[in-house]
Amino acid sequence: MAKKILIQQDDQTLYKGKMVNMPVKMEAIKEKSVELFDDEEPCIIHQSYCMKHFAETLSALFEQSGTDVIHLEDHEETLDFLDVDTTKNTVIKLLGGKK
Amino acid sequence: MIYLDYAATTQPSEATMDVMKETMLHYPGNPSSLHEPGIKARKRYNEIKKRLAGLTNTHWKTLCFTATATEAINTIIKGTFFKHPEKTILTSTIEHSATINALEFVKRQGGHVVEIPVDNEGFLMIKELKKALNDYDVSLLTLIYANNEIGTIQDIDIIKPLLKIHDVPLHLDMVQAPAHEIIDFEALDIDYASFSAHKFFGPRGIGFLYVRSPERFTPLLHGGKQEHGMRAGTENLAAIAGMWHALEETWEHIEDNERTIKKNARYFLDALSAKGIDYRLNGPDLGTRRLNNVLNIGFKHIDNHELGFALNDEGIHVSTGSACQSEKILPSHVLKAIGTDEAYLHGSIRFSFSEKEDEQTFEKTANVLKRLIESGDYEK
Repeated sequence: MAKKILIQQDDQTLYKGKMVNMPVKMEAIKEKSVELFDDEEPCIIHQSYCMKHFAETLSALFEQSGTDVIHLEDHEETLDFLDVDTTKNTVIKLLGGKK
Repeated sequence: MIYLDYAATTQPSEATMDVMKETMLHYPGNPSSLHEPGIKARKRYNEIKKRLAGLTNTHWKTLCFTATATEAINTIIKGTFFKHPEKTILTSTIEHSATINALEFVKRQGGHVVEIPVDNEGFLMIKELKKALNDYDVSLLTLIYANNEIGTIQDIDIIKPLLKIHDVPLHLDMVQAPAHEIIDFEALDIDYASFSAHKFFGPRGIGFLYVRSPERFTPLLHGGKQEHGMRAGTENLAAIAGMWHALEETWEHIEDNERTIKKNARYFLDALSAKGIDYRLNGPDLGTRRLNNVLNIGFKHIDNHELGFALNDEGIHVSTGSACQSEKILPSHVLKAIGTDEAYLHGSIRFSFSEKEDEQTFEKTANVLKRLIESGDYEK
């Protein structure tokens, strides 16, 4: 999952890098870990496995939307794992186009 | 599903499970009890231990059942330290975490441990061993015989004479060995060896320790007089029976199995080469002193973790051998110890298999690897 994204808020860059390293709320990681492993204190390797699942969710959203830009406000529930202050005027851009 | 993680664990055969069930049904007594069910269980226990001793060419009282190989390894390392706290324990830089962390415990108690480096194939550096034996008053050399990550099989015939000069006992972590070679303790001529049943198609929760020199260590567990005073605790008779049966089954066709494994290992590597995949086999070449079923393969500029997850999604189950340390995923200490090229270090994956896999398994795995690697999605 080497897909790269850019997260911007009012044209200010919040994150640029690999999808699997995007900012995700620790709470969301723990919830995913409980779902996958029944472990609320995942080690770093299990955390990375949870991150892969979040990256797949985002990746699927790009596929479904058919665009390279997603407005967070339109997908608040699906992407509620993202660690951003507000969804208002926040966009996620898929860098390098869809593979 | 393609399971290529036999070095992690194996599944017992139905026949082995039947033996365990039959033992639980018909031998419910405690072998230490002096009544009919207990005496019957004791007789069965002794019969099984004698059969296991027969298989491994040793006296049955040299065998000590443990819950795991980790327990067996801890017993020898800590037991040697407790007996000789002032002496030095030698080990290698490519040990299993059971050994590493037992030795860390020894160090925390004030013990002295020296790690002998290995060469770029994982073989112990004999010159360094000789130096350590001359420099220190040594109580034990504990060494992984067949490496669980890269497959290197140590040449103990070179090592043993050096230890004998200094009267130093040798403990071998032989956990990966029985699935691939018949163990003959008389011929091996070593002091201690640790084993785990679930690595050779036996059940989990049972292992054993070979002990030639019980006077040289202090037992880890104290309680009853089980295991000839070497390990207290009521015997897990069903698991012991399953372990014996699994070993007998494993060794029944071991030569044919090894031929199949070696042929398939060659096939897999050739398939990777034919598909133009840039890889390196970590550890010794095939056909030399190595486990032919443990292939640790480094893929250039690949993130092994992400590739491992992707293989899992494709139904191919492998191991990355990485370690987690709080905030970071670290590359394997074994691969670092053999000086693996940085370009391949982070992209190394362990494929471990049995005689049950066929050429189609490896052809499919190589095809999936080619597709995933060429996608560019898993680059480091």
